[in-house]
Amino acid sequence: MSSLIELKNTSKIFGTGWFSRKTVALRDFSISVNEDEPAITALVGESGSGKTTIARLILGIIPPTTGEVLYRGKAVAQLSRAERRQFRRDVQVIFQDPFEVYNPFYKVDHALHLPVRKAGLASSRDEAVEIIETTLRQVGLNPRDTLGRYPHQLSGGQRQRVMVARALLLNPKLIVADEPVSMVDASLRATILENLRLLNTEFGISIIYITHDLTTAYEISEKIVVLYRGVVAEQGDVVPVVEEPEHPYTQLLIGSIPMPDPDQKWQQGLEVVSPTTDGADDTMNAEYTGCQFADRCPHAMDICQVAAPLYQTAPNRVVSCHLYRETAVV
Amino acid sequence: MSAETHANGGHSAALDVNDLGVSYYTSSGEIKAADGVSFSIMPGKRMGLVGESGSGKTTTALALMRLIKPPGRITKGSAVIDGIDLLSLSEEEMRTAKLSQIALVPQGAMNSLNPVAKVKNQIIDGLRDHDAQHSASQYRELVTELLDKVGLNRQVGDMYPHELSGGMKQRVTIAIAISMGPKVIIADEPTSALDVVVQRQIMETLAELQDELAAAILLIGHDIGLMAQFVDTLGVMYAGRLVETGTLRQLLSEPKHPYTQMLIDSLPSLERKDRKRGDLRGIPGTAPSLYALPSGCPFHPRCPQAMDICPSEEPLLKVVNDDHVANQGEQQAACLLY
Repeated sequence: MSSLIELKNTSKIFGTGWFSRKTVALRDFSISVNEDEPAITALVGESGSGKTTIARLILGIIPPTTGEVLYRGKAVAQLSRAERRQFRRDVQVIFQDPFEVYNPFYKVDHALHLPVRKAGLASSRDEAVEIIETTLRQVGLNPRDTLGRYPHQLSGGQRQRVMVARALLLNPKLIVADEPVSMVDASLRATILENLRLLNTEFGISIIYITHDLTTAYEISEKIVVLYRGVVAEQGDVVPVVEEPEHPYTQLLIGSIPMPDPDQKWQQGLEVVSPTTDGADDTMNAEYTGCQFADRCPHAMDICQVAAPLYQTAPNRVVSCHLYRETAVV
Repeated sequence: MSAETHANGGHSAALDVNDLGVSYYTSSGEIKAADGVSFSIMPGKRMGLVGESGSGKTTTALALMRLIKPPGRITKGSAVIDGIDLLSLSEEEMRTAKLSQIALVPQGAMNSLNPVAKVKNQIIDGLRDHDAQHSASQYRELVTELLDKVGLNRQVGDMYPHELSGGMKQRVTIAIAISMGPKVIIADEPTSALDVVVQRQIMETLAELQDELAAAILLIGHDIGLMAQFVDTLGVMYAGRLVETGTLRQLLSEPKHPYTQMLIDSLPSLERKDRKRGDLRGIPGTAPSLYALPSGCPFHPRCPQAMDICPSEEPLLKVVNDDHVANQGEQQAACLLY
């Protein structure tokens, strides 16, 4: 097993100045992306859950406060120039907002030619054009309708698919997709998710799909990590986690999803405890060591003053909740 | 849909919109952002308006609040509440009608509150504008009462918007919207920036308050799941027109317009009825540019059931009920298939 990217017990604390309060964005998080078995892994959580922090750690944009980020077993900060170049090709990103990633003064061609040139993918301009056109077709775009245009002349869906094409150009091993469909209309959402899955099945690319939308995560991913205020609540294969959630937070989350079915109303009797401290400030404080969800949890116990470790409730499944303290700790 | 109002005998609609048109006049010509939009909502009922961005749903909401800014203009139609046509009121009359007749819960509460004014003062502003008779202590009481209704404690009144979470801010906008007991509340994607748990709590609060006021709600959004939990009737907009209306149940179980059918098919879901996990179906093509609308039915270039006649004839809304659901109310679709 060779892992392409590995996060080992990483934590990220912001605001470490003398006067600013420390905010823990991510606590003791580990994940490993295996090159041999490309999979789609969904990171699901509300805002402030740490999902974008994880993306930025994986991409090497920010360093972890503690723990390690490893690329092929080597710390990202210590990569040689050549290794770093390879890292930058192997790990690609698709951002949330397809409106902000383009320079409005350049045609979209620029965003596609630049990586081709920087990575030395083509020896001539004609060859570059050919590679770009092939890639655009692979994501379902017609090069004639796309190339030679300015970003504002494309629809949001087209712009996002050009970004998928840009990521695909470099033949990456891992694509981090940070909320790729949250700014796209419902009718196009399915098409872009289909693109992502194609990247996984056809091109063998691992995908980390970051979202707040559990339904799309359920549709396209194999594995899921449910995050809450910087810690893993529950993690495992997507079908059991979504269909039989074990952590009270996952249960609350799934019970609150509005189903497009008038016969299935918001789960009645589901206890919604309002947080005593609205806003996550207090529990995300570095000194707080209890369970992050305790203040909203209908099952909260005295023991929840101490954060739960990850209990292994099934072969591929871990839950961070004291309700499962009978099972073994990972 | 005004026919429905009359068919209901003695009851009249809380809001009756008829043939609403909004156009933007730009150097490239007139853009019809909403065209011939007609619907009505009975008191105490909730209607949803769904559509992609650019379909005219927010334009419709803004037109009802008379908030369309130049180069846009309301070109035609009426919107009647209590026998008064909002669209023909003078600016001053409309100012009085806002909050007392019709109120808006805006999209993105973070941008609609004044960042440098305390919450209580923002609530009092609206009250004072309509009725300056109260003393300071009466206003204070009113604010406490309103905050309590939306589930916030009184201390929130002395806070500034930046001290509140997204959900709390949205609750403040709801408190402002209900402060004068309006007959119609327009909620424009009130929870699109919030997570599902908070979304649910806010929608439940809104529903309780609506019951109390017996007001009608027009919920604008794109999340059909949320609609299914909240509304009684649904309208689907495409390219500035209403292409299908009916009860929630009719539209979800037997959508007639091909666009509605595809929109519902494209929903990701945890529900597994007739499709397996991961079977995603998008709608091919892209929403038309309002600069150059396709001729005839604006949906025909994307429609799998398009016929020869579709590019040349523009369909109008007509009743498409199946007999066995006729008792549920009228279902209308603008499609030449019917």
